[in-house]
Amino acid sequence: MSNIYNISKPIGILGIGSFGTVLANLIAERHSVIMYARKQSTVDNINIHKKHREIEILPNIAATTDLRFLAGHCDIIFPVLPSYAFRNVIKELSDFLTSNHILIHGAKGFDVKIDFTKGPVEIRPKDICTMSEVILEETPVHRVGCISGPNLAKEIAQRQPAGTVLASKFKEVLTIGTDILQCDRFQIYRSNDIKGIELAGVFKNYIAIAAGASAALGYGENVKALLITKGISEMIAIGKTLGVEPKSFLGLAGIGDLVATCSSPLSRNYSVGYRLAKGEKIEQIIATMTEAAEGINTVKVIKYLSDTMHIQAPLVGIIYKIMYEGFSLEQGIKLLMRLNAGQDVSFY
Amino acid sequence: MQKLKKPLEYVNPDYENWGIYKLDKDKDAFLIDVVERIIEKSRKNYPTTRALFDELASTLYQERIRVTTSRWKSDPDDEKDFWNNVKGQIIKFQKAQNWEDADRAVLETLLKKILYRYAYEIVANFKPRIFDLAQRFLPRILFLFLNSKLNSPFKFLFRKMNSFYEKFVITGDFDLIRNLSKKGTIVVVPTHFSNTDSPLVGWTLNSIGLEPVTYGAGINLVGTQPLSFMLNNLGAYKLDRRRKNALYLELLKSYSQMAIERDTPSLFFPGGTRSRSGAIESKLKLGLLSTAVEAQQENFIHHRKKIFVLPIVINYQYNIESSSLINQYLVEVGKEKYVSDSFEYSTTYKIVRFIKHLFNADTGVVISFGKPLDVIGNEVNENGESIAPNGKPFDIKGYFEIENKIVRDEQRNYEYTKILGDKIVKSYFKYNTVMTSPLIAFSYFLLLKRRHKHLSLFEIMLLPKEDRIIKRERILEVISLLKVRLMELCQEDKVNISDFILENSAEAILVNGIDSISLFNSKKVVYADSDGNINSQDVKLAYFYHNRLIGYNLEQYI
Repeated sequence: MSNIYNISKPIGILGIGSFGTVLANLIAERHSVIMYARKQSTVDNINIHKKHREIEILPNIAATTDLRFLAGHCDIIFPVLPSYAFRNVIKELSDFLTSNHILIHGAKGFDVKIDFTKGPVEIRPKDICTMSEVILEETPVHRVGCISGPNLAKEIAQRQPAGTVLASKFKEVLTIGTDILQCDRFQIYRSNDIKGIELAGVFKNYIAIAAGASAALGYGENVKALLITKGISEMIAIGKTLGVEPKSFLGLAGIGDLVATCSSPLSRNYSVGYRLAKGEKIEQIIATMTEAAEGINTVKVIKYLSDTMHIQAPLVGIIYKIMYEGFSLEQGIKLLMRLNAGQDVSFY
Repeated sequence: MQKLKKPLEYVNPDYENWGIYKLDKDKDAFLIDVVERIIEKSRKNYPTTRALFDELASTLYQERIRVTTSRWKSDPDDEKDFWNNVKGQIIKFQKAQNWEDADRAVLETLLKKILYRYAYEIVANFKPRIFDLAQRFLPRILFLFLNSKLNSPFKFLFRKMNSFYEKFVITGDFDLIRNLSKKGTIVVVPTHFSNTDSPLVGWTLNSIGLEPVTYGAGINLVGTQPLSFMLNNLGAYKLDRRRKNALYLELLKSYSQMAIERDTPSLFFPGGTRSRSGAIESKLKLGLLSTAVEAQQENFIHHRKKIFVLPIVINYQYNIESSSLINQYLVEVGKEKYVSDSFEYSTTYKIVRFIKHLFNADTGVVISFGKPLDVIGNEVNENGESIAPNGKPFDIKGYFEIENKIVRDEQRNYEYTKILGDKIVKSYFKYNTVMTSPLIAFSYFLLLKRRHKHLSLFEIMLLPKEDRIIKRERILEVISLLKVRLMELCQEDKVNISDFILENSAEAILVNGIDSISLFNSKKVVYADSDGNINSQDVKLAYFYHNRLIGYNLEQYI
């Protein structure tokens, strides 16, 4: 790994969710870090009490409520925001960004240009932006990257080893990003297919909901394996419609992340499915969550997209019916079993 | 958007300050710089002696094939001797079979020898007196020669050339472009549909007062045509399209890049060759374009000028090369499904016919300058500052920096070139001026295709006369619908429309289009039969002109 770049400025973290916080700690082992938070109380917690979300904050992390300060001091910024807030915050930040900046995001959701929240609408590929596309649209920054993979924040906070995929079209972003992130408990795999890696991270969320529901019903490993493998097939089919090649779905950000989120109660999307299966309504679940479960919106977006584009995506169809059309889980499972499943492997 | 009424004064009247003149004066030093930079690069690209040897051996292999199988009149007489000599040195080196570091100097000497040969073959010449002569008299002489309606040829010879600007509509933000030419180096990137594009763009740039540009011309054209003497002295560098070896291509790129670095305005056709299908180029060749980005990086390092990329869209009502272009396209995509019936006049004959018709027709050519861009594809303001997506001026130097230090990175710059390419394509579509002939061809071919939707493109080409008829009322209806949609697109800044289309009815558009589209061709591309219905004697040409309007999704409005 080349170290010709000698990054000496602090690294910026935009977002104070659990992943943003553990990412800040991880980077702070070798670089100073500036975090951005909207609330002064959060900033005080980080700067004075050195604690946030029950996680100890390393000494060389400072927090600010000032985006100009963040952009002025950090050339490399990691936006780790929920997708629903992503565009607005990036727009706000845009005024302070220059051609010097590099942005590597860690968000796993879509930005959809039409309102899909009120019921079924036609969604076409042109209506959907990944987060890197939002950055390109809203800012002068071209050097964009993303990180995606099986990175459950609690496990990283416990200093357990993990790996992630860093994707960018720019080799220098990959080199610099690796240099910043890699340490003896965090391995970085590189990819130049940024859109594929972003979509893999988004799509797996709805499969995780199904996995959580299946676990709540007491189903075992057979169902989980079925969900993971058929989930990957479905992800690839939808990905092709959005113009990406299958290979990114087969790596750490695709299968890897899917295995982790389909197995872990630590995953927010998994817990959404789990609670659904236990009889809670989706509105109740959303109201009581402290952090966004990206899968809830992803289900709607992919359902409407696959309907519009005539993509065979039975899993998302069934999850949608359970979440929004009053289907019981048992009905959903029955429906899945009655489908004409066709070829096992149908992507190449 | 301004419309040029008469030629503008030179921004920089003293030719001794022109980039192209200075490059010619300093030719030897320039070529030394070019060769030295490639030698420097070769140390990175071919780090071992063995790797450099392999590259030289590969160059020799390809050159010997070219010399024996593809000789041109323009090739120098000593070609065989030169490459035999290289062969001798390669064999001698190989026999020694010593790959120690000390041997690299021998190979580098050989590399230099090859590079200098290429460099002196490529290098552009520029003679201001010949340029002046060409600019003043060539268009007049051609005009005089071709226009039989003139009563007093001698008066005309010395009259102002304003009448040219009735036939050639030139639009653009000339004040901005002229201003930017003072602040930076201009790289012109026109669309390419005809062999007449280079001289036409050269004349247009001159008309708005810009200094002449250097551009690549096929070495065969420079060496064999009657105008070779002129071309050879007007700043064209010579490209040999037979040569595909890595050293030659590297030399060409470095030459182009370093000419820009030396503040020489340049011209590339980023589409590569002429658009065979007649469609606006949407996939650009990024190789030469990347030299503008690389040059900008070097200019930032050495505190030199900013580079401005200037897209130009050329619209002809009809294209004298259309028949051969579309034939080549159909042969390529149709393979066994298409049998070519290509016939092409000689270049000189074609140009003469073209210009003659141009002056007899009502409308000639529309040349639209797009908004100038920086090398990353951002628009620039009158101060030469780049404009960010949020509308504010910003400095693009940071794109080449990490923590305020410029880092050379070819891969990064290639990604920037792709972004620039996308912006140029957008600009082509936006500044494309729809004229009557493509509009009627689009309407006719679309209706023909709809009627025979079960037939392939190649089967449509072979339809008998009676199956090619489209009712006049139907085509008028489609022209009206398309006009409405094009006007919407025009308001959204996504296309331009000719004044004639804007100001006239569908009927007038149809009549004007029919009159213009077949001016040059022996067969009628689109015509009205005795019943007034619309037909074509050459469907593939109708398809060619139709292609000019693809990419706007107009089909879905019909």
